[in-house]
Amino acid sequence: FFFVGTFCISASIKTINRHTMDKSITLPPDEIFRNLENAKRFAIDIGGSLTKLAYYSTVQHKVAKVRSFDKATKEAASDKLYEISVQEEVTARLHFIKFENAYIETCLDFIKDHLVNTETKVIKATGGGAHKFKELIERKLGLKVDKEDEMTCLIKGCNFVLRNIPHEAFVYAKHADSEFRFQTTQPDIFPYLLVNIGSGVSIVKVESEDKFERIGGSSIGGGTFWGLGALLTKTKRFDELLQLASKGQHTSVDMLVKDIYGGSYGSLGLTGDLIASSFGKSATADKEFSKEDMAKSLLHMISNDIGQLACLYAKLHNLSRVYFGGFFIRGHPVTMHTITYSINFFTKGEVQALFLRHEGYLGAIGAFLKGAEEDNPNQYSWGENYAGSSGLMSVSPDMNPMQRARSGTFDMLEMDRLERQLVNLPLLQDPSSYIPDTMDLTEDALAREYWLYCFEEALDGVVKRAVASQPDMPEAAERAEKFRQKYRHKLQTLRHQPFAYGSLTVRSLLDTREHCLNEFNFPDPYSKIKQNENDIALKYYQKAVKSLEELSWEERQFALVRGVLAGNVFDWGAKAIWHLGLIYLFIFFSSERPWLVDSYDQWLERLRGPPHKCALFFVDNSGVDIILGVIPFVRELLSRGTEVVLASNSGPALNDVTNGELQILTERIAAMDPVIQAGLREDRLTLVQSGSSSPCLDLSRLDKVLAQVVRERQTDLVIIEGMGRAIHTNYYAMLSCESLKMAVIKNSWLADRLGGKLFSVVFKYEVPAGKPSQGSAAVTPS
Amino acid sequence: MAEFVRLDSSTSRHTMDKSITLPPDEIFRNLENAKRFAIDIGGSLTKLAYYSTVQHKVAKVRSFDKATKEAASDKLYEISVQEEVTARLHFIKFENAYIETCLDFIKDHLVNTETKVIKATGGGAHKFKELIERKLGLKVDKEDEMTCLIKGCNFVLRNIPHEAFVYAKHADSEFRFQTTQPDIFPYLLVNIGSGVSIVKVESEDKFERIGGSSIGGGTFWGLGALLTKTKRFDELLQLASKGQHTSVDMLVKDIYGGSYGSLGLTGDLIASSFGKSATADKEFSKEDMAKSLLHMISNDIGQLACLYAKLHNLSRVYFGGFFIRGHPVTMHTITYSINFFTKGEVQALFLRHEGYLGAIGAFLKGYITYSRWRLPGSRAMYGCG
Repeated sequence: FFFVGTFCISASIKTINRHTMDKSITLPPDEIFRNLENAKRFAIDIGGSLTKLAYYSTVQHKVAKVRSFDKATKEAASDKLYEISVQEEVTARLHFIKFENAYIETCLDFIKDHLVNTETKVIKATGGGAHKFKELIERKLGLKVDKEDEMTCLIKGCNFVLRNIPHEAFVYAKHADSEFRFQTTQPDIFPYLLVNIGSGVSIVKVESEDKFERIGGSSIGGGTFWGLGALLTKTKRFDELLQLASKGQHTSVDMLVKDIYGGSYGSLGLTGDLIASSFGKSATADKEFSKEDMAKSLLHMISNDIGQLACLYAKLHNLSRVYFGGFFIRGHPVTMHTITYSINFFTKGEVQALFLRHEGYLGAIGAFLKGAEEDNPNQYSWGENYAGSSGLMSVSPDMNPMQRARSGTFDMLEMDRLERQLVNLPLLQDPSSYIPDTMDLTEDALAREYWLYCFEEALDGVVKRAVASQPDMPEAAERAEKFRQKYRHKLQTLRHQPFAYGSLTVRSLLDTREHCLNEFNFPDPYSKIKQNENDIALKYYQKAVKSLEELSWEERQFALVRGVLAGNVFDWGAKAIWHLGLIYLFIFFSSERPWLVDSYDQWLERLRGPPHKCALFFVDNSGVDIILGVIPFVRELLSRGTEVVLASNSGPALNDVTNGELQILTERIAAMDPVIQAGLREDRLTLVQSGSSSPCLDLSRLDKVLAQVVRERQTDLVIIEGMGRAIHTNYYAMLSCESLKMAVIKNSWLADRLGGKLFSVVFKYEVPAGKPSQGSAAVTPS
Repeated sequence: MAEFVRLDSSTSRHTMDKSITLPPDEIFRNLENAKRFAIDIGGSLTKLAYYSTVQHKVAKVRSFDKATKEAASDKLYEISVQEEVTARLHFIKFENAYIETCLDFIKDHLVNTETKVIKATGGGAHKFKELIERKLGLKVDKEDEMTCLIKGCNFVLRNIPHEAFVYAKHADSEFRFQTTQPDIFPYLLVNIGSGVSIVKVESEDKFERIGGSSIGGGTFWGLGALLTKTKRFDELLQLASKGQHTSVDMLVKDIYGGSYGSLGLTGDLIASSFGKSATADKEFSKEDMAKSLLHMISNDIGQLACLYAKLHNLSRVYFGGFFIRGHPVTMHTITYSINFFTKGEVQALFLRHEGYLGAIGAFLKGYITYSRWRLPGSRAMYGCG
């Protein structure tokens, strides 16, 4: 199969026509320029060597919808609770493609041939090459080229990625376990400094969406490295110059402090190894210097200079976030390292050099946004589509020498317009330091090995289930096979480049799988299973409630907690559960306390106090979990006088209950249970969607409506249930109100990691420091 | 007081020529009474300082005694010529090649000195330490280079009127001298030697190296030598003054076809130094490359100096070091750069005696004094203390 982001060219053609516009290249349309037929709006950013094309298109894909049967027909039609129908839905997607300028003509022809439905008359263009190719674009596409200001586009694009892509920015640390340390998205991205190192250097201060200023710049930039490097070494290619530099020794060309003073210059705080004078030795030494050494010296000279300038401007304008971009940086670990080193040296660690995963696309994104202003793209939230994006450094020669050798590499980025605007949970203690994921697999090699293996192992099962979910579609098997290839390739990429999509986490692995399933029209492989589970569980609801009511207050509280935990064990998604009998085994085990993390006593103590005002409950699985575990728990809260907000996924993920399903379930339960009915009627029980379609939970990207409800109801308790939401993510999340995290560890490796055994229970009740609990003191986990 | 005598070096430029005869009337004056020595050995030049006494005649006036007044003359007072001994500082600068000759000469003419040490500074101080000790029989006492430089700078700024000047290439007078400020502090000293040191000076004894850069005179020289095969610094500057940087540099207009108005960048601005040599498949002239290099380095230093001046709220910025020393070309490019980056808010200042700062400082280290000095032949501005 093809590598994503690579397009295939027959070797013979390639070698003959390396530098000419080769019209005989055939582009595989499945791989690149996807959804071109529905493309509505174009933008292009033509740089010195790479062209970045952006287009906005719509994607038609299948979604599973649930619907209650009409009352009248219910008895007759089936004994099922609700019906599932697969519908077509159209969503908006942004496509970005990056390719070498040499292929521009081929690509334009390809676009022309495949463009069907577009009504657009213009293409927004930016970049230094925009005026060079203006005529060609207009002739080929029949669109009018509308030039946009380069710097404005760059800044617009930068704001967009910083706001919409989690883990967009990273710190580069060459010798660390993980070279790329991704930063959590900040609630407020402004102000920041953008240092764009193209031919020259532009230093831009960005204060708000529309306000930026070029506060400085330098003529010593990428063009200087390239130009002087070419003169000194007779090497004409930028990449090769960097290659030379990475092999050289600058000390043979540079004059160091110790070359002048015999050692360090202590009273001035200058160490002996510091470069006193770049190329200082070539002034007087009558010898030949190696190309490698000169290139290295040049690289240091330029990087240090830019680093110092950036620091000075950052200090002068009191800015602590400094992003670096431009072709000098783009995908080159060598320059990221030297710039980082320089920034560390000059600011003594006060300022960090930040880089961007999608830095190469900023201009194209900005140009696109300029043209799409009428669609208000900034009003929406967008999400990176892992299935359609190539990932960091997909075309970097350092990372992919094989691919480089074949040349003609394509890099892609796809972003989905999310139906709902996503914001922070207002109850996060410190949104700027919130990290959803418990384990960073980018840094934890052992954990990475395990989980990648785990996901690869599970792939057959996922494929089988996907096929089974669409029994009446004969081509499902073929699509499922494509899904398998795509997801396996993603896993392989991540094995070699764990940083490809930001920090690698269990969440990102799960999300990538969901994206890939959607990509091949398996919107909800678990829909039938969920339906079944829900049907069965509902039958036991009344019996369960009745038996709970027969218990004493204290017994009931414990039974409710165990009910949630036991229900959560019953999970088709987890590998360890293959036998229904296990649930009883678990119920037996779970009575043995203390649990792995056990603050049940404090929770019980708290329940003896006054009721909470409002509880926000993030739910997990369908079936036994939601119906026999969560709802009785909620019922008890309602009875205590606590309002409850049930937050469930907007879209499907594994067997997690979706908002659509939960609506129907609660209606059914309300019909049987006056407590739930009263809760719904009196608006004390509310259902909201989380805005997510992930089996995990990112509290910094939640539906805006949810945030609003949480605020309005003065929520003072957050309950998070299940392994995906309370262990893989949010285990360490600090909230500004009381919180309860409940999960059963259904994976023996993870249980081992956390010092427990399979089916260990985590019951983590926390009260934020400084806030006196109504019942007892704050509890820290063991 | 200072005396500045240059050694004529038209013959025997590069060798240690012991056969040079030094005209004692011209240089090393008053050596027989020299009391205290200091030496600053740089990369190419040696600066020697000594303190001596000068016996000279002064005219004195005296009222006639009342008793004899009528008889002797009808003049109001009488004039007599007397001998007076005053202190004088001597500074001599010569190429390192002559150091041995000079040391021999000093040895032969040194009569009355009681000093046992010679203060030394500069990068070359440890290289020639042994030679000096052997020739003069004095112990070489090394002093911190930066401290000497600052001490020397404070000394000339305080004692020499019109020490600092602004350089304006196209003005009627290229040198516009500044009047001495009553308070010389604080100021920024940008010393452009092989590398660049940026020093903030707040008082006589308080200074701090707040920044620096490895892109300095050594870079111009080193890269220039590699690019043009021209090994001498002076010749590189000569080349540069004849070149056209626009054939090597990528200008704003080369990228955008004109100015980049919304960012306030004019078309002639250098967007990328050596940007054209990245892709153009042609030979570039030595002159053009040298000029481009000179601009690149001067602009960079200019910008750094401005940023540090702003960051520390300093308005007086002095430039020194061998990159600047006596070279109108570099004074011009540095001045241009400073004007560009500060929009005229900060002026680039240069010093008449910049080359002597280290030697003066080293001498003063061995002679703590707050005396006022003046140049011989110039009007005394301060009393002696």
